[in-house]
Amino acid sequence: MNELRKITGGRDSDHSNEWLPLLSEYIDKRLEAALRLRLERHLSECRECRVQLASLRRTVRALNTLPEVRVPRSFTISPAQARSLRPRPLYRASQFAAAVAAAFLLISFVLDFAGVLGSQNATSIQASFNPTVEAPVVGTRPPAPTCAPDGQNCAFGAATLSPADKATPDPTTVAAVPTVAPDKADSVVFRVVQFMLALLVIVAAAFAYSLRPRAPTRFKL
Amino acid sequence: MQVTKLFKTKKNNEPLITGSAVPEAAFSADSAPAEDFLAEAPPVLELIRPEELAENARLDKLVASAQKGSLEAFNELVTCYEQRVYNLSYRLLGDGEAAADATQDTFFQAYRALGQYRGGSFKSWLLRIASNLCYDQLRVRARRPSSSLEALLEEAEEGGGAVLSYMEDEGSDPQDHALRHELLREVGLALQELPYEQRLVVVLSDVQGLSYDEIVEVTNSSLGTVKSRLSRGRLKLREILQKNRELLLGEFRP
Repeated sequence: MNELRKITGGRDSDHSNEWLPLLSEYIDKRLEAALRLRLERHLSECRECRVQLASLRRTVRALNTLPEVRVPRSFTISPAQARSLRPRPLYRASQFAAAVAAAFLLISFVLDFAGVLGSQNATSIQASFNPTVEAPVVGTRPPAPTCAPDGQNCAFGAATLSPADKATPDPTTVAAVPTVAPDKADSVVFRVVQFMLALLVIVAAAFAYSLRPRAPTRFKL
Repeated sequence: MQVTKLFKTKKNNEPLITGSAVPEAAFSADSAPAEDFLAEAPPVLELIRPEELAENARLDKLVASAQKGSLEAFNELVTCYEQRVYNLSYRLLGDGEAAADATQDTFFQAYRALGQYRGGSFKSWLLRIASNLCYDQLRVRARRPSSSLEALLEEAEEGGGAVLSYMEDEGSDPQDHALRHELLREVGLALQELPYEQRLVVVLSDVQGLSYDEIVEVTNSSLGTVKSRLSRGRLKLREILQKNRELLLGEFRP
């Protein structure tokens, strides 16, 4: 029969393509008025479509009568589960603290490398740019292991200046030493602040990590 | 803010009937009589009964209370809706255990996302979460190489290991009972063979009794999409049932 249908051509498939898609809406009484009238007129003349409608109605009714399955257990949430679902205010606070501290730390690193905060870097740069000063420095001072000939690298950390350098009767270095002292104090404070910030970041981050919301265990404890 | 509807449109289908209906023996087109096809009068707007209004108001209060942080209020909502969410999940996944997991995750997610609920139907909001979770589960399942269609059907038949108890009256004729069980089991299995989008819309509409507009809310698709998916889903389901019935009864179409 189906093969026969195929042979006779597309008339039947056109027929079902035209009317079949309307049946579902018609059953739900959601078909708009004009279409509904057209469909009803067609149904009064077409047995095939009436039969289709009836069987579709039965399918829907069978779905309607599918039994409701009872829940196997209660799905209420226990207080423990609720706690792990909703992040506590402390979690948010420590997140914020870690972020702010990290930001400040970052800024301090940037300032550090830019030499804005007046550490020994600034003075050494000034010294190296002075041509008259530079020559005697190279001549009289024996090159220390950590110093480059132009004298610039000597400035990194007052500790790297060997005692021999300080003893040399070099006007530049002698002049440089007094200017290092007040900066050194500032830089120490600065380093301490940096260290505290780093510590704060680590502590706050650890706190936040331990308080993070996790998927709760399904079974209530 | 929840807008309480005062009117509702009456649907043709009565959802979740559990009476002892005589089982429809055949879904094949041939045996259908040319019954009176004329649909009843156009949809009638009817007032919602006062009990329903009171119920809706109570639910609104619970939602507001839960949003402020009351776990107790939220758990009351869970008790109200868990049956529905579980049944939707079960009909979508075909497996009792998976449905239980999906239901639990739905309420976990709902609790976490309470701040984002902005009004409208709370039921639709919940069912939207549930259907998304079921969809994710099915995608995971599809990737597993071991799950063939037969395996899935077998799983569905066993009910996924969970003991399923149906809510129905026991007073009906036992033979009737058995036949009906068989038929409905077939319908349940046939649902599993539908493509997901069609299955979702068919279950929401014909099993859960949602209106077209509620389905639009749950699926977040257009009305036209919902209508066409429902139409195609129902037709396909009928086709599957006819095919299975033919195999069962040993009939061959000429």
